[in-house]
Parts: sequence; structure tokens; C-alpha cells
Amino acid sequence: MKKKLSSLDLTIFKILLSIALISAIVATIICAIAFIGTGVIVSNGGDVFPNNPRGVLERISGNFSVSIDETGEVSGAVLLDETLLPEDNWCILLNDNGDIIWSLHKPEDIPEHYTLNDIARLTRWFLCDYPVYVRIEDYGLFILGLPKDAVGKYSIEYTMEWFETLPLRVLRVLVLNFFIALALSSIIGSFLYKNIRLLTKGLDKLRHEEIVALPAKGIFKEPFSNINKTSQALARKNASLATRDRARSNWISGISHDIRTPLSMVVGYGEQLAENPELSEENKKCAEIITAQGLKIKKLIEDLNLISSLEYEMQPLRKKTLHICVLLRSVVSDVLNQDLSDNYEISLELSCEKAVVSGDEALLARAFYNLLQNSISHNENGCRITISGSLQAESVSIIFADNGQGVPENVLKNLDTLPNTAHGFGLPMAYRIIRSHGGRFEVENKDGFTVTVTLPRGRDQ
Amino acid sequence: MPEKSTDTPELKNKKLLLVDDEPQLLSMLEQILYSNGFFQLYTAKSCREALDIMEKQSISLCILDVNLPDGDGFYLFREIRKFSQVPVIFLTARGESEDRIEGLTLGADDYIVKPFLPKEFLLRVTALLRRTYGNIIPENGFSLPDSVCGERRIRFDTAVVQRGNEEIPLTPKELILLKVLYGQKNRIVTSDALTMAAWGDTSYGYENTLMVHIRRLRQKIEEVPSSPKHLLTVKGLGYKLVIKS
Repeated sequence: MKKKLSSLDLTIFKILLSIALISAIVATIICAIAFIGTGVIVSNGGDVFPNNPRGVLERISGNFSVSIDETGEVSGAVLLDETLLPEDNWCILLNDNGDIIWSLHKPEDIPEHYTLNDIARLTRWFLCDYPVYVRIEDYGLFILGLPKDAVGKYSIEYTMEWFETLPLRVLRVLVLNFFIALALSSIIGSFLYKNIRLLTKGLDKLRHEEIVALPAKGIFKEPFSNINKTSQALARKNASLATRDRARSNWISGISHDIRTPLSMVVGYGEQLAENPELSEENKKCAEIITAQGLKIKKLIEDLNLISSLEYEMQPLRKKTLHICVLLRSVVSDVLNQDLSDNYEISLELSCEKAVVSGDEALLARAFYNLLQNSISHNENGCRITISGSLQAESVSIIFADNGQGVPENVLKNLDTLPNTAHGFGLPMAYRIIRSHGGRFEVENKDGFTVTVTLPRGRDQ
Repeated sequence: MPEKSTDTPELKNKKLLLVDDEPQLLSMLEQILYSNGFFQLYTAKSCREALDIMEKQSISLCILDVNLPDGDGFYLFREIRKFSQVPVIFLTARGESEDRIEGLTLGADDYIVKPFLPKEFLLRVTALLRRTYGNIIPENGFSLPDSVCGERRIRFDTAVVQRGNEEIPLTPKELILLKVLYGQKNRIVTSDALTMAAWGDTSYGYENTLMVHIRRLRQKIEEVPSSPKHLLTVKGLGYKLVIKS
């Protein structure tokens, strides 16, 4: 039982381990996807978006026509398609001196002239709180302005080392992520594991019909309380079954008790009549039959009583260490001493002289006696019975084989149910005695009838 | 087994007390004993009646049923033992061996389970009476026919085999073996029972020793030791002493 439970434990452990591993791997993959996704989102799409300010500037400069005089000064500037500039944007063009030479939608608060400092400031950031973008052409500097508060600008700087170690750090984060996921799922898993273990333990106990009391709370409240209820129901049922068995066995022993006194008189007077000189020979015969049948009833009720108390496990076994071969020889001698006909031959081939078993001597002798008697009564014309014993590491086997006509199959099939009285109590009783000693009882019709009795070996003192 | 001639009429004069709650069974027991020569019979149906009779009469043997209306036979037995050491046979309708063990542990002299044959009952009663009050003459030995000088007399008291004027001594072990075999004459006695009696152990390891002793015994009691007629080997089981009566 212990072994079974631990293998079950191992199975649960394996399941939980694989769940933890899978969840860790999935978490890592999700983390990697998140990295890439974040990168894509943070990059602001570059030129992908149509109203991207840099795109607007590019389109404007592409549709711009400038005329330049011989001194190299810009003399005229025209935007061919003014719709290129969105309504709420503005755009100016500065020449090398910092003066506006062209403008479109220019707000009032934008200055007309720019110093080098102004230029330096505005190229990256804001001009009078307008977020601005610049584009450099041969003929000047375009400045595109967006409405105030339309864009936030932050300066992000990274060292080159940062870029070089980026893959390593990403890897580190992934590994860390993997282990955190593993740990988390293990913690959650161990909680589940504890409960599942309780559940399987409960089921195992249920199987062995032990009392189960699991804590009926938590997520397993439902199955736990179901198991508890089943266990209680089972206990109730077993108790009522035991009561019934006890009642039945007591009833049988009561009947067999009550029958004995009247039977004493039947047998007693029967025998006296059989010896009464006043009776005719014929009547004496009748009286003898009464006595003989009375004794048969006595034997039957004694057998019935024994078999019922064995059946309901109410027969106390008075166990002691027995030499099995000594017992067999004494049983065989008893059978032979009953004036057994010469048509029967019993031979012993015992190669287990040292074997001892722990058992009830009277009951085991009874079982062996029944087996011999079974072979004798099933073969009225005689038979050869061979009893062979052999020794195994943990057990001793005794084979009772006869060369007779065998035993009807339906008798053999029903050995473990209450005996069909038409065939007597001999075999079922032997079966029950051997079973109550923790032994095996195997029957076979093969060139006669063979019974193999295997008993666990006892320890020699 | 026929009544032994050693039985003296005094045994039949003994007063017996029968206790059983079933009047019909009581009258049957009375009849059995009466028709076999016992005439001083007292019957009781309860512990109280039984104790009353015990006080007034000098009872020599009690036959007690275990089931009685006012207490069980074991109780009655203990009460009787307080003032008398009279031999007691228990009669019980309970076949369970617990009863047997309890009865015998208490010190009962015998125990009969119902139903029983009148012959068996009578045999046990007389045997117990003889054991208690009779002169026990131990079995002194037995005789085997001998073609030369009529018979060989095997004597247990002097441990010899007498053949005419010749006396062959028996060793102690041989005597033990012969006694055990004779006690179960014409029946198979297992090697284990023999070695247990002679050496206090089962036959394992004693097979050869036993065989040697049996061979010597045959030389002493058999006419032709190599083809024995009385001390026979039963292969695989043991030996048998055949004495034709």
C-alpha cells in the first residue's frame, strides 16, 4: 500500500513539474513578444504615419520652388501646393542670416529674426512653446511648427556600451522571467499538490475501507466532503453488514447448540434399541440406522457451525509453530487407521521436512483430512493419492493429487461462496481454513483431482 | 471395548450425581447407567438442587451440564470444588473448543460433547471411576506367538523378552518405543510420535536412529527379523505393531 501511494505521489509530482515548466516557457515567450511589441510601439512608427512632421517637411521641400539671384541670395520662394501643410501647422523658411524668407500660417508670436542661439535651441525642442521640426536645404532652413501642446519631447541618450550589452541584458531578463514564472507556478502547484495528495490519500483509504476525514474547505471543499461522506456511508454499511454476519453466525451456532440435546436422545435411545434383545433383527437394523443418521446430523451441524464461523471470521485461530510434515504424516496415519480399503493407496513425497508454518493445528489437520476424505469419497472404487510437499523461499506448497475421476467443475467454481450442501462441506471448509491462514488454495481436474495448498512459512524457533 | 473383568462391583456401588436442565435427557442417562449396573443415581435440574444433594450424600462422581438455569456448569464446578475433590465430567451442547478448554483448565476430569453414544458415555464414566477408585493394574506387557516355544512374552515391568527360558533384555529406548506402539496396537504410529516419545523431538534428523532401534527390536521380538510379521514399516509414515487377538 505504501509503495502504491508513493508511485501515485510521483505521478502527481511529475504532472505538477511539467505544468510548472510549461508555464515558465510560455511566460518567457510572452515576455519576448512583449519586448518586441514594446519596441515597435515606442519607435513611434517613423515614416509610417501620414501626418508625421518630418514627412510633411519633406513633401513641402519637394514641392518648393526657389529663385536665387547672382549673389546667392534667395529672391523668391513659393510652395506649389499649400494643401501639403496641415491646417493647424505652420511653416517658415529661414535664410543663412536668420531672417524669415517665406512663411505659411505663421502665428503672431513667432519672431521674424533668429540668432544662432535661437536656432540651436529650437532645432531639437520648442519655439515659443510650439513643438517644431527642422529640415535643412541648400537655400535655407525649414521650420515646421505644430500646435502648442501637440507633442511632448524628451531627450533619450544611451552609451554605446548600452547597445553592446543589450542582447545580454535581454537574455538576463528572459532567464529571470523564466525562473520567476517557474517559482510562481511551483508555489501555486505545491498548494494544489498538497490538496491532490490529500485527495488521493483519501481515495486510497476509501479503497481500504478506512475512516477518512479530510478538511472540508478551500477549493477542494466539494470532493473532500464527498469523500468524507462516502467513507462514513461505507463505515455504516460495513457495521450493519458485520452485525448481520454476526447475527447469522450466532444463529447458526445457536441452532447447532439447541439441536445437540434432542439429538443426544435420538442417538442414545437409538443405540439402546439396537441392542434390545426383545426387538426383531429388522427393527434393530432400523434402530442402528437411526443412530448412524443421528451421528451424521451431528457431524453436519458441527461442520456447518465451523464453516459459518470461518466464513464470518469469527473462528479464533489458535496459532502455534507447526512442522507441516509431522502434521501431514499424522493426518495420513489417522485416515489409514480407519480401516481404509486396500483399493486406496496414499503415498507421501515430502521434501520440506524442515518447513514450519504458524497455524491452528486442529484446523489445518481438519483441512488436510477433508482433502484426503474428498479424494476417497469421490472415488468409490479406490484411487492412488499422492501428497507431495515442496519448499519455496517464503512459502511451503503441498500438492494433494489423486488419479480418480475428479470433482465436478461447478463445485470447484463455487468454493468461495457458501457451500452447496449437495456436495458436502469438505472442500469449502478446507478452502476457508487455508484462506484464514493466509494461504492459497488452487484446485484442478487433471488426470484426477489436484489441490495445491500454499501456506506462508513460519519462523522456526 | 468390553467391560474389564478387573472392575470390582464396588465401582457400581458408587453414588453418581447427574445434573442437566433437560429432564428427558436426565432420565435417559439414568436408564443407561441403571441398565449397566449403577443403582445409586441422583439427578438435579439446577445448581441449587445439585449442591443440596452434594451436602447430604457422599457423591463419588458428578456429571454436569454446562447450561443450567441458575448459573452454568463451570460455576457449579467451582462451588463443588470448595468442599469436595469429587471427579467431574462435563456434558455440553456447546461444541466450541473454548468450552472444552475452560472446562479442562478448571480441572474437570473429562468432557463429553452432545450428542454422544451411550456406550461412549458409559465407557468414560467407568474409566474415570476406575481411575479414581479402582486398583489400577498397569499393562504388564504382551505376548507374541512363537512357532518354536509357543510364545514370546514381552514384559514391560522387567524390560525383557522371554522366550522359553531365554531372557533378552530391552534397552530403555526400545522399551519406550514398544510401549508407544503397543498403546496404539494395530494402528499406524508416525515416526514423529515415536521419536517424540523416545528423544523428545520430531523425526527430522532421527530417521536413521529410529531405524536402527526398530531393527534391533525386530531381532528381539520377531521370528524372522528380515521379514517382520508384527513390527511393520509403513512407508513414509511410521510403524505399526500388529497383534492379532
